[in-house]
Amino acid sequence: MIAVHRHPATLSGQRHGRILLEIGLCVLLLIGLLPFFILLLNSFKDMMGIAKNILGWPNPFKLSNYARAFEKLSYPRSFFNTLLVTLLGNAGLIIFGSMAGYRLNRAPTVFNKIVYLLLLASMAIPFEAVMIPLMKVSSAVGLTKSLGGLGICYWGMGASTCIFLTHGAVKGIPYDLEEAAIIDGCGPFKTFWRVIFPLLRTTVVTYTILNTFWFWNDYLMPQLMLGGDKQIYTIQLSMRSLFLEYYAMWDVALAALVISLLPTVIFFLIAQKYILSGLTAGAIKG
Amino acid sequence: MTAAAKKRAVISSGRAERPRESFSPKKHWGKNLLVELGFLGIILLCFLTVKILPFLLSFGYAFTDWNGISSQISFTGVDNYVQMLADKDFWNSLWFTLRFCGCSILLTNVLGFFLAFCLNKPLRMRGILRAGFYIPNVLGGLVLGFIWQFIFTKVFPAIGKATGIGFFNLMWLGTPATSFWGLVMVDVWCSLGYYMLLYLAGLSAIPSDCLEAAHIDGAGGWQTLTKVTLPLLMPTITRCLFLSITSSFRVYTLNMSLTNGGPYLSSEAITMNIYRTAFTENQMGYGSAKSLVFMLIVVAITGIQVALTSRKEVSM
Amino acid sequence: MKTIAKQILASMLTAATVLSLAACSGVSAGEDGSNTTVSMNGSQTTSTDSSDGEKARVVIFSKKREWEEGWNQLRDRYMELHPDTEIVVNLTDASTYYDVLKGYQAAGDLPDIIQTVPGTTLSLWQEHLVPLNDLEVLDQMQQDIVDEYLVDGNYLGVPLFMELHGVVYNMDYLNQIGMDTTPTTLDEFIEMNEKLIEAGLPTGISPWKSGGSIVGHMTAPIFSSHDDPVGYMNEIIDGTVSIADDEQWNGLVDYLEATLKYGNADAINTDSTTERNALYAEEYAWYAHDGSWLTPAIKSTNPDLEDHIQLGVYPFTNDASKNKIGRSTQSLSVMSTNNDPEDAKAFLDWMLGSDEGCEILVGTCNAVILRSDYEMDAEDIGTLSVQGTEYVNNGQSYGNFRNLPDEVSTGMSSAFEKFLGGVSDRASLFEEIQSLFEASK
Repeated sequence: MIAVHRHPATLSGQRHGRILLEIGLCVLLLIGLLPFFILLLNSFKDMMGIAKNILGWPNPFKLSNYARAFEKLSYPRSFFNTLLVTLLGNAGLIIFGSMAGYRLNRAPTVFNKIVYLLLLASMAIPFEAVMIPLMKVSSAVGLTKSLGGLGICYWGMGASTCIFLTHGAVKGIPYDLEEAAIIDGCGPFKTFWRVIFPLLRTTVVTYTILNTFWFWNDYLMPQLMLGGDKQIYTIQLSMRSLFLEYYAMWDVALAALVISLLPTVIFFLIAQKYILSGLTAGAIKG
Repeated sequence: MTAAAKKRAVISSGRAERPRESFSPKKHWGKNLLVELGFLGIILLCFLTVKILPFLLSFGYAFTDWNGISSQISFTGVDNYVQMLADKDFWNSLWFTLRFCGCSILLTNVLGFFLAFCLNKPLRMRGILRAGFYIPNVLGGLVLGFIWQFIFTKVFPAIGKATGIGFFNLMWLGTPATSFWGLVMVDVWCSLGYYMLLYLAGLSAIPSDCLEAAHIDGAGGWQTLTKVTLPLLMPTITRCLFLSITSSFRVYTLNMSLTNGGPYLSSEAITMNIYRTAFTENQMGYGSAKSLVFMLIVVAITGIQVALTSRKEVSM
Repeated sequence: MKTIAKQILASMLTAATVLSLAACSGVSAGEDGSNTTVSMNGSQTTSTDSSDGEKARVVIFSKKREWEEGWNQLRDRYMELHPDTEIVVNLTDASTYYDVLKGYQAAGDLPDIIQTVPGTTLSLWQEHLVPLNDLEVLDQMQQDIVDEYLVDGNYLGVPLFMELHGVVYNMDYLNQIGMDTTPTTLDEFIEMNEKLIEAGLPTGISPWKSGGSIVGHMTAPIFSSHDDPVGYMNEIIDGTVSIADDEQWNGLVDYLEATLKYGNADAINTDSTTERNALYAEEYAWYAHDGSWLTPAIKSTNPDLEDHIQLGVYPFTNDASKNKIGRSTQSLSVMSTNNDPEDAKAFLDWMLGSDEGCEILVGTCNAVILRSDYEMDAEDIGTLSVQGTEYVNNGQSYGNFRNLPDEVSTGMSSAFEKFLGGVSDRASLFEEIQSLFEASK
């Protein structure tokens, strides 16, 4: 790195500027996270407290909301179900999505180009528009009424974004590394997994995080695909039982919401380290 | 040439001198069907089954008068499209969606880039700030809308009463204007973190040599930004714009849980209009026709966007 | 880093494969018959699998989530009495009920028993419904209510419960201004408000954020006051009759104007949740539109309210004999599926006709059932329901009008919202509604 001579005044001015920026950002962050504070605060109140005293401290402080939320959500089972779908969905997209993105970039045959365009164009289709035909097709193929089927459905639905991002990331990787691997005698798959995939870490983690939040929060597709069997309900489906036609049990619902968000937040805090370490290394492309 | 001889050639000639075109994975494995299947097979199968096939069926319905229930479906040709031309609500919701997307995409990308730019500098609290700004993305589905509806209709008035600031005392979600901006606010709040991360990744890939070189040449902060950083960031910008356009246009769950199209259908985005037609009004055929037109519009817009921004991409 | 990432990926993949195999085979739902239900006392009953093909199966799809406990009791009790029948109850959100049902239909997996309402809904689903003409319990119900479910000479639905709606009053406030009965005319309603204001008491709150309840419920007096409601609607559609001339249409708007004038300032922004929370908290004297469906929530939030809550008529006109409450019945229907409809019908006869079934419906679900000879009191069905059934028995109720074309419903709802928001006036409101009807031809 070339040492640049800077005037001392500029340096301290820069430092002041930086500190101000930092403070400004922190304030912005606190404002931005306000809804979460309110959510957390109100999850300990009773119905009257939520209706009359939103910003105030809970009085009485009801921990029982969480106990009831656990029960209403059928927690261990619905958590397990949601986790299963999320793991399966992510595994498929990480493995097959990145492979496809790589292949479509490296082998731009006419067929592949068409496939890529089709994948991109399909991102314009809203789920609600194809909901009913999807049910027809997926029940004919046997994907309905099971968590595994739902996971495989997510592979198809999430393919476009993953392939698009991977394609972009792979575009920036020079051929040299694959070349070297081929010379070393690697086959196509080994080349991909050994040489390219580690470089895609940032992209993969980025879309895995996004997909996880999508699977965790999705309601309509699981409702349709899983049918009525409560045993395989995800957290979101179980949560609907708190929202009745004329009455929403907000006290329990807010606690249930906090419970359902906690795993995803923890997951994100762990996963984002991979992105950050990738970023600071600098040499890894996007 | 044998493999060993090739290897010798590689080492002796030095990388920089070999022309790029002499090797490409396409030439190497491009025509191999098994490899193609191996890489693409499974995901393509899933994609075709779950997205393309249903879409083709929906395409078929778009030319019928099916109500979604009856087993009697009659082909009606272009009747649906003629009806669409006169459908005031459809065009209103399309216009609403365009406005919404314009504001949301602009704000999300500009603010996302701004945050990424700031958080790319060596600040002490950088890690916490990065994680913190992303957290809103955790919320999704119906819950996001309900929480914010709660905030707009209960918390804002409370804050307004306590502080007297006019902003909080507006009739949030009760007028077309506040519904529009409320929707934009929530969408930006939620998506900001994700685009911040994408821009961060893009920014960190810009080698510091370029920036140093610009500084030595005497470029100021703004000039460095516009002449060096942004052009090098174009691939990321293309990607982010594409993603934000496709996801903003499809907004539905947020729309439904935050405003439900109200007041008086003034904040009904296009997907909500399609859903209402297809399901609530029991006109699956007509709804399918609408979604076909919608899809063509989005494809056209993103096509133009990608073409424009790709042209500006600068490679290193 | 590479190795750790690889390890994590490998373990994730293994976990996912193992779990997904478990999901696809064991844990998945019982279409193959291996349905595991946990009954009330916690023991697990696993029904035998489909190799024992003699087991009859009835799948119920309902949007009455509030009745979860009651549905479970009905299911368990019936299965005790009929060990050869398997009952499955599938509960879902009310707002997306018919959309999900369409999804099930596309998947070729219709439930056996669904919830329906008379009118357009019933005729829409007509071709999938089994006639219930031979259902015994129909004879035990009021003829004119049962006849609402007559389509082309067949009974396609059997009444399940009734809800009563109108203006809800908190009598504590009315008593303070010397009123011990509710207003029966528009003038009385206005007078009451002026007395409340004079006494410094709060007036009322109106959930006018959504026009849906106005269109769904408050059009009952408009159409049902005519001898041939559908005929009247067709006259509007044909343009032979103008709604601007009609007494009840104008009465509805008069009432809406009164609520805006005397009620809470922010009515256009008040949704029903806010209005109901205010009701449970006893903040106002009157609540512009609500009904007997409140009972479970009242009982769990503020049971004392049961002593002094009162259902009143919609005060649209100044003729007390023309002002009534609204009555809404909902039904169960049987769909033609792979299962034998006779099993579903047998269940319905038991659920709605037998004393045991009715006891669960009334005692646990707090439903107002339509079996004429069944005694229901306030403890079971709540004060509002008891008052409502009195109105019904005295001929002081209008049935909901459910034959509006779908586009007209949504258009009308939005037109009312514009009026309530001050964007349009009475004349343009009526004009818009009239053209909506005429366009639906």
